Order: sequence, then C-alpha cells, then structure tokens
Amino acid sequence: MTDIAGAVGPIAPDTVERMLGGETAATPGATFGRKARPGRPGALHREGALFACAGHALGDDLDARLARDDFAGLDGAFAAARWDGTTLTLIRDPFGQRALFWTVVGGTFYFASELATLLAAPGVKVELDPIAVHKYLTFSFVPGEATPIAGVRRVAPGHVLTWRDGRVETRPWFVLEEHIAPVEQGAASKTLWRLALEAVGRRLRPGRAGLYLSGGIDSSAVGLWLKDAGADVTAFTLDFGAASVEREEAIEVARHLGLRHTLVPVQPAELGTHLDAIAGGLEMPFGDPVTGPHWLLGRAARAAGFDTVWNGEGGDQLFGGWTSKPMIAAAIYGGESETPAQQYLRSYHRFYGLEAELYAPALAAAVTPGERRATIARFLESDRAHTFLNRVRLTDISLKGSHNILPRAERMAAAHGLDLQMPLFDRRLAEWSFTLPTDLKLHGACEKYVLKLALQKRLPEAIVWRRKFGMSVPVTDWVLGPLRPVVETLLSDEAVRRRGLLRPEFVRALREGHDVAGETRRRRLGERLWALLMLEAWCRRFLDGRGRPA
Amino acid sequence: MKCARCGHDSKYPERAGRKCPGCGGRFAFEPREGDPINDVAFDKALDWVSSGGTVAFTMGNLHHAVARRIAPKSFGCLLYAPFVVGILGGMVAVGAGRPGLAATLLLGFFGLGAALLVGNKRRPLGLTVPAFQALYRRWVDAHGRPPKLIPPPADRPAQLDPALTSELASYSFDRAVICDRAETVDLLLANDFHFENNCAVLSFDGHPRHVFATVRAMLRHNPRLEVFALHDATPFGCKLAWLLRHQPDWFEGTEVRVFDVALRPGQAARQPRLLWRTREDVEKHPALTDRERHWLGRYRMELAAFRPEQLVKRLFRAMNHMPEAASGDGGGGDLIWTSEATASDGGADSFG
Repeated sequence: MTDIAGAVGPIAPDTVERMLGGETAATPGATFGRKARPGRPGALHREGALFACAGHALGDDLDARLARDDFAGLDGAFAAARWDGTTLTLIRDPFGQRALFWTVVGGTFYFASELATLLAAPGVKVELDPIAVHKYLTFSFVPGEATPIAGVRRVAPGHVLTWRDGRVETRPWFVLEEHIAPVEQGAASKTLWRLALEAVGRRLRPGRAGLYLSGGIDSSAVGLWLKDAGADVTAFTLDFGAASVEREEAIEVARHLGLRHTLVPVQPAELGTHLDAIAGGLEMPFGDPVTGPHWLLGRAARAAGFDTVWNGEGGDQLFGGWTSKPMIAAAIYGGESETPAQQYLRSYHRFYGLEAELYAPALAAAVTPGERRATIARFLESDRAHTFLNRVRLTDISLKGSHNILPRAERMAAAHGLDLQMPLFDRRLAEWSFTLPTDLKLHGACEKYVLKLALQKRLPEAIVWRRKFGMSVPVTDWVLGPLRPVVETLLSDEAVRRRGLLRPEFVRALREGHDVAGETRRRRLGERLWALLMLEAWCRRFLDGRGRPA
Repeated sequence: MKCARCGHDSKYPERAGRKCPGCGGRFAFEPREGDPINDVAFDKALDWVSSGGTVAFTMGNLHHAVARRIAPKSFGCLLYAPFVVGILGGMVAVGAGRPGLAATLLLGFFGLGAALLVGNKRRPLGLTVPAFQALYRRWVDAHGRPPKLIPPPADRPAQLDPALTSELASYSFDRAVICDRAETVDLLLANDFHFENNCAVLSFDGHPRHVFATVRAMLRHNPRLEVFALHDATPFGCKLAWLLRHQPDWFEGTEVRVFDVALRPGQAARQPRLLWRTREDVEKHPALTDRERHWLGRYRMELAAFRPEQLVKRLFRAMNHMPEAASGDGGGGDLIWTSEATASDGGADSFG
C-alpha cells in the first residue's frame, strides 16, 4: 500500500517530508509526497504536472485522465492529487476504498491519504466536531465529508475536489443511476458471471492471493472466480470457537474449491491489547465489532507472506441483501410517526432515539436537528432510483458501503501492509446491478437471487441457497467477559465524565450488562458497548495523541 | 398519600378538593373515599407496563397491570402462621402428655396452612373491564393520556401509492406472526417487531385492514415461510394454529410450517395469578385435547397479562428456537415460551 500527502501554498521546504516520512517532489507553489512499499501501487511524478496517487486506477493513466477531466469508465481503488500550477485537483475512487483528507491552514491547502499524516501538518488544530460524533453514535461510522476533527474534511467517494485561488469546489464524477432493462434470469446470471470474472481479472496481479472466506455466498463466489481466473488462492477464515456461525461452511467451500485454508483463531482478550493499534489503523472511528477480527485476519495473512488479500464485501449492497427487508416491512406497514429516513437511521441499531439518555448536556446542546436525516435523504429520496428497493440499495452503497464497509476493511488490511481487493465493488458490476429488475435481487424473500442463480451450478446447493445468518462476532460475550477490564478502563465513569460527551450512568448500565428495555437481541448490547469503546479509543489516539500511538 | 407528580406526602385532611398541597396537581384517586388504588400505584403500573416509558402497550396490558396492583395482597408471612401454631400447639400438647391432641393439632393446622398457601397462589385476577375503564378515565382526567398507550385498533386509509404497493407486494417475508386479536398485532407493530425481524404481523380476522390483503398475498411468495401463531389461552386462540394449517385462504396445501407459540393451557397454567375465571362448555375440536377443553372451560389467560417487553422477548426467542426444536410437527414450544426471557441471541438470529 502507498500513502500520499501534499501541500499547496507557502510552507517550509521539508514540511511534507516531515508529515509523511517518504519521498517528495515539488514544483513552484506545491510539494507532494509518497510513502510506499516496494511493488505496491502508487505514483509520484512531476511530468508536466505534479501528481501523486495512492493505490491505482484500473488500467488507466489517472494523471492524464485528470488533465482531460475524463472519468468515463474510471475504476479502481485510489486517492490522487494533481497540481498544474494553478489548480489543485483531488480525486477519490468511485466507492471510497482509499481515503483522502484535507484542510486549509493559514492559506495553505494540505492533503493526505492518512489522517495521522494530515494532523502532522503545521498549525492543524485538533478539536472534536460534535456533529460528527452525533452521527457516529447513530451509524457507528461518520458519513459524509466531515471528520470528527473540526476543520479536517474528506473528499467524498466518487468526487473530485478542486482548489484554485483559495476556493474549494467539489463535484461528483461517478453516480449510480437506476436504468432497469428487462432481462431473462438465465441471461442475467450469465452477464453477472462474465462481469464478475472481468472484475476479478482486472484486479489480479501475479503472485499468491489471500482470500477472506467467511463461508457466506459472497466471499465463496470471489474464491470461485479467483480460481477460474487461475489464481493461487489461500483462504483465511475467522474461528470464533464454539460461537462460530459459518466456520463449517467456510471449510466446506474451501474443500469444494480446492483452496488452501487457514483458520484464524480469535482471542478477544488479545484484541484488548491491540485496541489502540486498531483505532490508529482505522483512522476514523468505526464502531462495528468486525474491525477487531479483520485486524487479526490481516495479521495472519501478512504473517503467511501475502501482500494482497481479497474479500466478498459488496454482494449485499449490489444485489439486495437482507438489509432491504426491514425497510420493506416498515414501508408496507407504514410508520405513523416515522419517515423512511428515520426508519433507516434506526436500522443501524446503535443509539438513534436514545440521545436524551446517552448524550451529556454539552453534546446534546451542540447537535442541530435534522443533520442525520438530511444525510440519508440525499440517497433514500433520490430521483436517481425510482424503485423502493434500489433507493435502499443506493443508500446502502453510498453510506454503509462507501463510508463504512470499504474504508474500514481497507484500513484493517493496510494496518498490516496489505492491499485489499474488493471485486464486487466494481464500477461496471455496480452499474449493471442498477439495470436489473428488482425481483432478480430480492425474489420473494430470497436475497441476492441473481447471484445465487449464477453460482448454483458451481457451489454446493446448501451454501448457495441456505438462509442468511447474521454477523457472527460474539461481541457481547467479549465486552462482558475477556474485554471487561478494557471496557472498565476506557468507559469508566471517570473516563466518560472526563471526555464529556456521554452520560456516565447510561454507559455504566451498558457496562453492567443492562441494555435498553425491549431490546430482543443480546448482541446489541455488545455492539453498543463496542461502538463506545472504539470512540474512546479513537479519541485517545487522535484527539489526545494527534494520531500517535498511546 | 404521596403525589405521583411531586412526591409530596400528605395527610387526608390536607388534600382538600383532591389536590396535592405540594404542587396543586389533582389526584385521580382517593383511597380514603373508597378507591381501590392510589395515584402512585397507578403510576407504578404504567411504569411497569411500559418498562420505564420505553415500550408501547395496549389498554389490555394496562388493565392487567392495574389489576395486579389492586389484587388483594398476599398474606405474606401470615400464611405460615398455621404451621407455627400447629407446631407450638403440638409441643404444648406433648408437654401436657396428650400426644393424640398433638397429632390432631399438627395435622389440622398443617392442612389449613397448605390450603391457604395453594389458594393464595391460585387466586386469579378480579378487576372487571368496566371497573378498569372507570379507573382509567379518572387517571386521564387528572394526568392526561399515557404517552406509550397504543390507540384501540382502527381501520386506516391505505398510505402507499399504488406503484410502491405494486413493487413491495412482489417481495415477501421470512416469517409471519398471526394473532387471534387485533390488539396483539398492534402491540407488535407499535414495538417494531415487524421491522426488527422482517416479519409479517396479521390477525386471523384481517387486521390491519389497510394492508391485510397485500401482506397475506406477499406471504405466498415465500415457500420457506415460517408462521407463528400467537394467541390468548381461549378456545378460539387454541384453535388458531390448526385453522392456519387447514384453511385454504391461509396455508392449507402448502409446505409452510406453522408453529403454535402460545398460549396453550399448559403454558397458561404455569402463571396462575394471571388467569381469569370463566365457566363455559368447550366443544370438542381436533386442535384441543380433552384436558385443554376442561381447563378452557374454567379459565382464560390473555397475552395482555404479560408485560409487553416480556411478550416481545419471549416471542423473539420462541421464533428463533421453535423451528430448530420442533421435530417438524410444530410442537415443542412450551418451555421456550414460559421461562423468563432476556435479550437473546437466538439460534437463527438472521438479520443484522
């Protein structure tokens, strides 16, 4: 993996080098830098214009594309910057796999693909943005261009930002739109197969490929396509011991596909010792407990000598996974007191609706009403999709996908120096998925129907057609068990009071194992506590330590 | 008596005009003038039934909660007095050299004690619907309508535009809860059970009317649908699962599995203090055993007797475990239902 940083404006000559710690290139008015592992995708040059790229655009010269302002068909996992002497252009990949942070201090525009690097720029103030915290407590991640640090922003996924004469402008270069075209089931499944193979082929590089194999249909499909593309694949599967939900299925798929297979044991107590490293690696607060196990997967893959890993993220978002179902149920019955946007917010199951009990007075006072709904409404009420299912899909891809699933997975792989490939978040595949009739996605109650049709002859029937099981991280057992000492430290009454964001009594009740009344799922308690734990760990790393290890 | 608003404790003469001398607020009840309950007890019933104001509840739930509050108190330690008297009397009689009298005293008082214990445990609820409604109206007059109370079931106009209905109607649900009463449907919907569990919720007789036909048609799109019958312990309720399996407009002739979640008499009988007495001849029916018919001829139990939070948790747990536990014939849910439920991970907790 490669990271970049740069500055446009008056700076000391060694500023970018000190921020990033890598090689730099300069032209009048701007300095860019790159820190790379040998052989990893990325670029830094000043041929005509100053250009730096973390990651790469698939088969494209991104510098030339930016010069031409041509983004047709552009795809890949990248964050790049170009300075032509008058205009700085920043661009991020279509689905937001690579991050790109920026800020302006004293007339100088700074950018970096890592938050800690940006915070090392001179004069950057590190102050918490309460609105970002408010959103995090609802979504378990921070959506949008803001970060939890006031004044530090991100280029949005699929967007271009320009800085010229002190003015910032942003515009989308990639938008998903629904254009449904009638298609037979058989033809649709063949097209999916072809596009998926192409998506894998475009990303495949020589050498061994690691695969995060959950045992579900999406990662099994990626394993199958990798094999078909001739890759030498080793699968890695999390082993939660007796709490494993899909481990046996993963073993079966690996055997069926003839993959080497490694089970990665998850010791929750060990995660406690790595919490600061996980928070630091994530860079933004991510409250889903899957990040800890992903960190362990990355470590195992790196220890086994891999530098590229693949996963099956994106199947739910593109082809209609279970997340559509609650929204359909809510839409059918009609909420008398809630809009679809409010129902969607509630579907994240963190602290939406619990603000009065959770928020300390200062945070409650800083929150302006409607911020979160506005974030949702941009997608859920968008005229880019006309069917209900695809509006939910668009929202899922744009928020849960681009602001959560992709960046957190990339960061947890990057923490171990791994490049992560997510072939289901492929531009052509995604655009094609928005041409599919909706009953090929959700067919009755059958999720991802077209994907299952495509795979049914190549994977065991029980794997393809079995009912979806939920995320298997036994997080409540962790936070009330082996991780309790960490929870008691980071979320003690004193720690919570000192941070000043939350009410200690609410957090204490969670710590003591009391979830909100009416909560039927025990794992929600763990998910809520983990989200608070990661928020505090993030605050310690980035607010208190400016990104440096605790 | 304490004020439910401000907590001020006042003597009867201080409460002129039934107003609290502390805050001036009006009392709904005055036990000194014959009311069976005071404001604090009613307020506690509301707090209990709504789990601290967080869970929606029906009028039936509140009725049961209030009935519990005003049911004659358990005699507590006094219930054991016959045993003590019997032992002491027996000792005195033995000391006086009259072992026969001692044995008689012991047997007699122990028998009395046992009868009192059993009777106390089995005494059913006794607050009638009109009596409860009168209390409720007085509470509303003094304190306003409880915020989490679900309005009585009513027909509503269709809310969806036809295009959206047409699209949504092509999808289906993983599971369906079919109830014998509209109130139970509304309780589940108001507490987002459908949203949390991708679950259709309907009553057998067509509630909610504005989506009933659409939702029932959606159920037919899923051949792997799991159906859960949820009902009162009444003759009709106990036939519900059977009717769902045997009626062509429901699931007759399909491979859909129908599970009878609750309440069967065997489940209800474990909660003797939540029963209502009745006297009725219950006709023979293939869905009812003779023993159940006999029980249903003497007792009723409503789901509304359960605290809503508990009902939702028990239903969630039963739905996740019954398909696994059952041998395929839809039985086996008694223990899953009757034990106290906490938030559960559930064996098939499939969604997010």
